[in-house]
Amino acid sequence: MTPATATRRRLWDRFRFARQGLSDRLPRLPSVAYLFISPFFVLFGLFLLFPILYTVYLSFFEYQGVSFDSLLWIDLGPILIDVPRVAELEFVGLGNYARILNDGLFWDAMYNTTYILAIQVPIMIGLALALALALNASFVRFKGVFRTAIALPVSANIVAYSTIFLLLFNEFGLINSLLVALGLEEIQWFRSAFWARNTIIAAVTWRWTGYNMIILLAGLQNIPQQLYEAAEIDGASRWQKFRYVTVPQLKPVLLFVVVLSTIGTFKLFAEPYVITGGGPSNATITIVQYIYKEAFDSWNLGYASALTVVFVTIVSAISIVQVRIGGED
Amino acid sequence: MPRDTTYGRYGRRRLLKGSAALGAAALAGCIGTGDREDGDESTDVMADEIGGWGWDVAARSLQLTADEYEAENDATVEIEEFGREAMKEDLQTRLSSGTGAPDLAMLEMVDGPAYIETGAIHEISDRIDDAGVYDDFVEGAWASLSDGDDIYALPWDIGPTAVYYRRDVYDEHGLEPDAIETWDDFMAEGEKLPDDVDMLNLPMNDLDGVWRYQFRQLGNQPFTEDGAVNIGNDDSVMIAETVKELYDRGLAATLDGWSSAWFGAYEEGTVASLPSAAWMEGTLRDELSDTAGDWGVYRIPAHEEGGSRASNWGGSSLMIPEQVESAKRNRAWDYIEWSLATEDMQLLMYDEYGLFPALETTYDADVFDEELDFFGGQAARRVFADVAEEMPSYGFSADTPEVTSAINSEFQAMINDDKDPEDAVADAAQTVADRTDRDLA
Repeated sequence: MTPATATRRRLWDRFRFARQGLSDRLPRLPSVAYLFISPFFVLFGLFLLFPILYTVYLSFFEYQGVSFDSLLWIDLGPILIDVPRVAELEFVGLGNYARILNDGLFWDAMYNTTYILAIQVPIMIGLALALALALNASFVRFKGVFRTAIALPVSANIVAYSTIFLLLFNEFGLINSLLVALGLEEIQWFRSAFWARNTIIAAVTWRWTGYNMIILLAGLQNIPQQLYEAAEIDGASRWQKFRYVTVPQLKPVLLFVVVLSTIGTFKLFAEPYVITGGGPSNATITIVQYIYKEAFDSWNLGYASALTVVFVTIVSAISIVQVRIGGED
Repeated sequence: MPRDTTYGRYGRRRLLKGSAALGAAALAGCIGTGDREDGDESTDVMADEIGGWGWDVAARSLQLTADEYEAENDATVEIEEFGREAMKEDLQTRLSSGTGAPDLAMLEMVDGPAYIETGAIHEISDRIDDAGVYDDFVEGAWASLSDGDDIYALPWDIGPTAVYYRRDVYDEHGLEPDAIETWDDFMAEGEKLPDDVDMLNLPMNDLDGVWRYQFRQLGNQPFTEDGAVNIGNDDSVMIAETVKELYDRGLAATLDGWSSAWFGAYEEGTVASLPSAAWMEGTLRDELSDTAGDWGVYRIPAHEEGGSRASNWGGSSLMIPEQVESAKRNRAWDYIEWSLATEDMQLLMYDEYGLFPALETTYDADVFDEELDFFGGQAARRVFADVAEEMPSYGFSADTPEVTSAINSEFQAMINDDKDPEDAVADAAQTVADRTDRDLA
């Protein structure tokens, strides 16, 4: 051992002793661990738990206006602590929920959202699966290029791409110009309920297909090759391999994609908000858009909260059903 | 080693000390809930510095008066400029959270009642009384800024409504603006235009705006005195029929207002007339400067011969949030009164940014009789000033958004799906009644 190494070792030992001494002097409480993870719980409580509980609370009230009363104030001369009460609320019990039952616009929004969901999600997932299978096949070239190109729309800003769709499909947009150039009739995309809804579907599908494809592709690549080899030895055809190997193996990933897309479509807001504004005659207004309208156009904060609670309940119920069905073998 | 006792005891001891201090504070009367008594409400101390919010040209014109104000007074007025939507959202949040609002802000007439109802706006009736300026303003501007006798904002600009028309297009096809007195005349003249030129535009995204200026023109209110929904009355049906007839006779384009196609149509003269408000002058000058000299203005058509030809579209005011402390309120009011209730300042803003004054005493000024090159030498502003003095008042309310969306939705159905005008109006009224828990008038 050279002197230099010895010195280094001595220094290192002293450091270790010092560190150990410090840790002996620190309080040994289980609470210290909680102290370290508390920032998460504080933030979670403040920004997630509290808003959720407050929404449920608000749903039993009618918003009357701003309150300038204080919940608590402490005047210590130079220091004044004042916790303002934000809103003037009137308790209405289940009144807001009862109102939902007879609210035509809520049911319109429900219908629109369900319609978009029922058409859009199957189309999108079918498309994503087909693309994933194609891009997973051994004979396709330039896979990287295709994958990137198809997955790229998901990085587009939601309002920006909605605006592009608005420009494409408006009365004098590119699509109508093309139709006319081909000798066809112009279509009033935003003037008929049917076309307006399908324009929204097209926009959403364009943006999210690539995203779902990437997830499915990852799932496909996780399927062990031995299964296919074994199937081949048993003389399985291409279709049989797909039906009896790929699909069962991919099931958890497919389920994940379906549940995610369902929730995503239920939450649809920006596209109809920008492209059709909910029109014509409320034919494309979605539930979230309706909640927004109630809360921030009409200031019915209590009613909007009740709508939110109902909405979350419906989405949760559907997701649970999907997981149950998907989970059975 | 015993682990936690010492720390717990310190905690308890500290807690005891803390609560003792709080208890003492409570005994001394400086802790509590509810309304804290604010001692300085009655004083007329003015803050040295205030801040105000506005959007686009409105903010820029406030900057003008702020500069003048600072030159005359020993105080600073900071004006922040926003985009319209950005400011509305930010302001609403700050007003309803009771903190963080500016010392004064612009408030659109249409939003007035909804804001007032939330209790977020400072009442200024006494200040207006003391200043003695109530009668200086156009009568029709006050309704949407008041709740009963209590007034919450000072009117700024209004939007007396008239028809802008492309003089060159009218001349080319032999249309006579002077021959137009009623909507029937308007349609008859419009028939002279070729197929590729429309007489006017019915903006699909603002059909309620079209409805509202005509509904107001006929002296209607959306709700009766006792709160019943009044938008299904005969006048409303008549308006719906007029709108539908304009469309069915092929006289109307249906471009979204303010879209590029819309600007393009007016630039090329493929739409010949534009019923709108006085504030549109600034936009036309800015956006369609190539068409200078090709424009003219006449009063909106009446629904029946001899009927009213005056209405209003839009307008705004300045208000002080309730949460602002009293010294700043005093300064804010001083500045607001100076900007809006003095002729010089109102005319300065009108001249620079085209904000049509709600201050009636300005209408004698020369600027209204100026023959403007943009309008081919017509003294167009006189038309608007005359309209302003006649325009009926209109009661916006917190339920205005419901009326807006119901009318827009039903009028769209009327145009797109050929819905019967009478049904459309009745359904709109029913929707508003259902959604606001009101009766039908």
